Amino acid sequence: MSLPKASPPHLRRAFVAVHRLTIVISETERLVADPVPGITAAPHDDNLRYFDVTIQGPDGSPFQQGVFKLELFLPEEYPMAPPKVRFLTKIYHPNIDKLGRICLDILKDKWSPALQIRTVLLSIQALLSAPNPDDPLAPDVAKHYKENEADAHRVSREWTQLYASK
Amino acid sequence: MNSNKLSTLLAQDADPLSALDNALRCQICKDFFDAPVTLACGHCWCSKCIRSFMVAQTGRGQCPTCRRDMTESHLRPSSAIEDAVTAWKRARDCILGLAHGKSQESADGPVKKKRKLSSSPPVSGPSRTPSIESRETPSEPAEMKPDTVVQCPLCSCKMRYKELNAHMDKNCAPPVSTSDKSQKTQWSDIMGSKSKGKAKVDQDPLPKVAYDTLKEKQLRDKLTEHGLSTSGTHAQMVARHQQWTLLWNANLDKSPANRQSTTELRKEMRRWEDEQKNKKKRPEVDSKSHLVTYPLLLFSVYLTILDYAEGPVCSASGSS
Repeated sequence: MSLPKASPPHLRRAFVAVHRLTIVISETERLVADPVPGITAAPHDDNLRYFDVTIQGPDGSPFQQGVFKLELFLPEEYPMAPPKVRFLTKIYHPNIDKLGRICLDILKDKWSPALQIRTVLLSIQALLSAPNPDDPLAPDVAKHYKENEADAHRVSREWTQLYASK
Repeated sequence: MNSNKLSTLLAQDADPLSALDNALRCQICKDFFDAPVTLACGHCWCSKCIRSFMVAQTGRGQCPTCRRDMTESHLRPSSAIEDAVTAWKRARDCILGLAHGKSQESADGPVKKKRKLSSSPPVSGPSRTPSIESRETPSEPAEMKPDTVVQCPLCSCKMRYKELNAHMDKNCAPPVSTSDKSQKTQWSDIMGSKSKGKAKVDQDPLPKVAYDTLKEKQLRDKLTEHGLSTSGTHAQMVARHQQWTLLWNANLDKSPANRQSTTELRKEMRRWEDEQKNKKKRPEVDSKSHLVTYPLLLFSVYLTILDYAEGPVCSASGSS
């Protein structure tokens, strides 16, 4: 695919924007063609870089039976820079703060361009199964998890029922 | 839609083929390897992809798959993979053509396509097509006069037509016109001429630059040396030089036959500049820009489909 040689700059710029989006689209196609159980991701009609995501709480975790809404945004630099992901549903988890921000290494310094939307969402699902209170983002929740795990699980279950039931 | 058929074909009906297809794709851009390079750990990437990731990681960095440390010196061009990709692309077109029932068409297709290709090579075909064609038809027009200045097809030196044969017989020795060869040029022949040195420079990768230690003027000099613009802030100039180095070195990772010309690299550089401008504008226009890009996007998808539709027939004609 190439543009005619002497095309006006605004057309060229639009072409570049479209070209960059094709990476996003090919990944979206794959997500749709081969979905991950318990995870959905759908791009917005008006902004193909913006995804509505839902993740089911993994079985055996206090988030079981919950369906959590997230938003995912692919910045211009993607895949050289990680996607931006945030929980929209309230969740009681030591690595997720009140604003829904997620403390996960692959979303920060451990990002690799070989990762995809799919693998990122799987990692987030895994984080729900295995909270890590030693690297907290919500200090009070982490403290609760460390001091009385059973009680913290109870609160997590309650929040899941309150905010994340279908 | 053709592209849907394609993905279902590659995803379900032909699973082993889809695995092969995936194995020949770069995990960063998800496209077929372009100038594939392997790292010390054995993982393979497009040269441009892994180099831009290194730039993003400020020179150091880890392999995106196994996180082993990597530096630019680890990169080794992998010509075997490059050949495999070229071969698979052609095979893929054939397979898709067969799968889409193009087989009946291809019986009368080749002749038509060939004519179409030769009549309008530079319009939309991939950049390689014209060069292949010109290689296939090197015959000079019959009415060439002995004094007409022509280009040597091997070294693209300019000379008179009557000297061309002798020149090519001598393995492209510099044109000897006996009378006007000065002492100076004779000396430079012995000591290694300028033109030879230049040809060698074209093959050399550009070295890494420690931008922090460069003064503004030195940076400007470096940019003008490669014919790049010196506008913008210091950071913009650094980014520009980095990008040029990246494109240049990535191009050298291709096998010589597949390399882009400097003009093509400059064109790509211009596209990058546009992209940078676009990025700066982005925040304010973002909410409306999709109104422009979305129809264009559909158009590009349409173009891709056309590519798929035309591909198999072209390749069938090329191989037969």
